[in-house]
Amino acid sequence: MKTIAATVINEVITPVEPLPTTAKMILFNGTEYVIYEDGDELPSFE
Amino acid sequence: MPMFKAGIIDYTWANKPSVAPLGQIICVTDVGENGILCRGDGAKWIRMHQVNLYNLATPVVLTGTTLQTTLLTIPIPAALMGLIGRLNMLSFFALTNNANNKTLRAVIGGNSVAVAGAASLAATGFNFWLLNLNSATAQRNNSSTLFAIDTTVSMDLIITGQLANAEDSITLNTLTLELI
Repeated sequence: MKTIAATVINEVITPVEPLPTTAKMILFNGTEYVIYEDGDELPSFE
Repeated sequence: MPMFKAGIIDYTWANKPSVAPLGQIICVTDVGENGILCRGDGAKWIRMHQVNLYNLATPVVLTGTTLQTTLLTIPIPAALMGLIGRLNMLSFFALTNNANNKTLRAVIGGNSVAVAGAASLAATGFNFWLLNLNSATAQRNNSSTLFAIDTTVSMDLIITGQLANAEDSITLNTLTLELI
């Protein structure tokens, strides 16, 4: 699991670097983008 | 000096020749799954067929904020749409099923080409098309809204989500973008 910081550009939250395309899941949790990779336990959402 | 070369030569979209001899066919290797064919019209390179530009392989979840948040950014190469190209985007979202609104947006070059609100739904599709009107700088979308996006320059398709209640969630599960 790794994280990518976020910044606000023109009132839109935006990652500071490109998000990966091969992760298991990407979660923006209100603060940062959390990148879930193989072996990471995924959170569940309704 | 003859400009026409026999055979099909590989280029990337960025390094293709600035001269596009009429009838010359090239392969652009960095567009699509394994390249696309383009044909010169005497001035520029014209895409010869449709291409799937992007398929989402990683679900993207949004929660914890009510600010508009970028979920996905897809680069669209300069001038790839041509004069009569059409972008088709199909996507599917899972949502917290309650009365709170969730807003989905597709933005190209600062223009919201598609906006949809969803509430009291567990899932929803979010789709649009955008076609060039015999011009690389004039478009109409599937709501018949006119745009003046300069597709001769590179641009991004940005998918965003926005929650009315930060405790809810939006999950972008599926998305495909094709250029016809």
